[in-house]
Amino acid sequence: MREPDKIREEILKLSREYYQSKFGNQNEFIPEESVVNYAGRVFDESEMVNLIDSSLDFWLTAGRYAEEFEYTFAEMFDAEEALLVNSGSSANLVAISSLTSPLLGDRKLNPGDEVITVAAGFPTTVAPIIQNGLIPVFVDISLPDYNINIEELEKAISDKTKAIFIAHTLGNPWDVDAILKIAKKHNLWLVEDNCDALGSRYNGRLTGTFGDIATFSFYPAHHITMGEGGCVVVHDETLARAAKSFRDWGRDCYCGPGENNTCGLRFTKKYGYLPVGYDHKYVYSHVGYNLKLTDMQAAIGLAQLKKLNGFVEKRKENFKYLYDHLKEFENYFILPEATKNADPAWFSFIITLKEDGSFSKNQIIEYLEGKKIETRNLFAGNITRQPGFMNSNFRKAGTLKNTDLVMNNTFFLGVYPGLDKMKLDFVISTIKEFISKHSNASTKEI
Amino acid sequence: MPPQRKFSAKVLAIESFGEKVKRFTLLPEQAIPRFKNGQFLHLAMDEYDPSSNWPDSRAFSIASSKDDNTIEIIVSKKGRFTQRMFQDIKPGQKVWIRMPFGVFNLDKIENSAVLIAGGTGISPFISFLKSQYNIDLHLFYGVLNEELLIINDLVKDLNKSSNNIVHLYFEQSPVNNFPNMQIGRIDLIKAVENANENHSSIYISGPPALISATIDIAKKRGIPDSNLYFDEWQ
Repeated sequence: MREPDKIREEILKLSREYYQSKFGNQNEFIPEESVVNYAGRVFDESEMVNLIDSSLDFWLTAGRYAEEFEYTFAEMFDAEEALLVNSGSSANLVAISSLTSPLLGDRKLNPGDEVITVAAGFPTTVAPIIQNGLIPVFVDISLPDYNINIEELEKAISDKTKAIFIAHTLGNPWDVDAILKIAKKHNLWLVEDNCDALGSRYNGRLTGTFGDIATFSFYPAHHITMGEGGCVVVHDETLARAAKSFRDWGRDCYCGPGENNTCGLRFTKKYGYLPVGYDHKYVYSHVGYNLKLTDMQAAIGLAQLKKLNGFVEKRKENFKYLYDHLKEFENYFILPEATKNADPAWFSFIITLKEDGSFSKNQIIEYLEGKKIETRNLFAGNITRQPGFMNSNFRKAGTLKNTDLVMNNTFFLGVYPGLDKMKLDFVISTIKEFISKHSNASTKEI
Repeated sequence: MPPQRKFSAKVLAIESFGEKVKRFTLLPEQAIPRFKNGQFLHLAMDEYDPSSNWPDSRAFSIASSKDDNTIEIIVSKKGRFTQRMFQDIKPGQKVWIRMPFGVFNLDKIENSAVLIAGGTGISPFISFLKSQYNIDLHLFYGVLNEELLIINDLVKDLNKSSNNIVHLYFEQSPVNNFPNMQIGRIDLIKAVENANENHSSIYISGPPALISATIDIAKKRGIPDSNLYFDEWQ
């Protein structure tokens, strides 16, 4: 064996030992002292070994691990292409920007065109619509699935509507059959924000395989992580070309990092008003970004991807455990329900307080947080009321009654694979304790 | 295009067609990534180390079927790299492959097509020709001489199907007789008119002069750009 290979092997052996020494023994859970996180990274020595192995290549930008991840992911989603990016938000930006590409001819989105979405979600589903000069059209959601209201969706379509861009909320797939039918009927692009739903299925098929594009996030709170990272899965050859260009500075050339003249036409063609033979590597067919990630991130992600099925099963198991134990409080809570024909890989356990309840959302979440149980809002609540968005150019289709209800009365708890029965039991007993204290309260403190 | 992969492969066989053309059969050391008929690969002879740049390589059309467990390429000896290939590559040797690439996508063909190939320009058509059964095809294929007819068996198979017509052009008279054989260069006017009559798309692969001549004729006969596809190489 060559000397560098021997040293590498020794380093990787030591990194396994380091993992065991540093992270191998889980800390004891002490109720009210240990934090019950809503989400977090779940990893073992394989992530650490991949990370260090990649760092020893010192290739740094997207390399062999990124290539393997993209290939595996594209196969998993039966996609034309899977493009790694540096976050789920970047994935959304690439997805929407791709729809504005001149490569799409008369189907391209132009400034002023409308994109249907919801206001009860994450801001970077909406942000790229606005950033591209398009108009988000907000449709109310339905409960207890927290996805777009199908009847309202159809009513919201105007002659300016060109696309639907919606998330499978917290892992719960939207009504794919209905939405595909609407998209087809009105010739609309369909983008699945699958950032919170990796592993979710509808009619047995993975979400992310239904739309023209799907986006994914690998932030530590998600089903798998790379630290920071995301992916754009594209199901159309032309869209894939546009997406890659927007990710890679807007360039026309598809060579990867460190590659040159893959197409053999680097110095022979004429583009725009450039001289004939201008280096194709520096020809820009879109006003793009650089949203690539490093090979170290992809290396972690590849180890995580191999664990996805186990992670998904654990999320479902934790969700069911919470559901079964909180069902007795349905007088107080609207509990989450899976969409018909869906098998969600739940991101979290979402709870909405009934409107005539005897306590407020802030009361219960302050109580839980006081016991070191993390809670989160359904992200932006009603994004039309957010300071950064309230003056943006958007259209509300109908009332956003449920969206406002979610903003005021909804929070979620974790179901991630790092939660065991002991932690979940503590969550359940704390909620019971809170309800027993507040069930007879006569006034609501806000 | 589908995601690319880099992998090593063992050279299984090398077959010569005259002095300047060879077919290399390669056995990949991992599953062959999916590709579209018409796409190409890059082949490198030097070892690839993921911590450094991809070594010097050249592009070759994938000339084997998607169903094969080997990859075939047709190589015409032209420059320094292909000369080295002819001289140095022996059966059993390891090479590196990066694939797939290219937007010349024959999988788009739905009902009928006219394919025009000059010399080793037949390569990107081979995977498609091996796998299609229900498409009405006219293949206009020109070679210098009989020795360079690298798809002889495939031509015989194609001629057995009522869907296909192979129009063969030899610049030098062959010893054997072939159906629809003519002496001379490819009759591009006939090829284009055939496409016009059948509302077929035209796919062209070969030397730049062949491509530009076909495009000129096609445009003069009103064939829209959207029906013209060419595999352009230097």
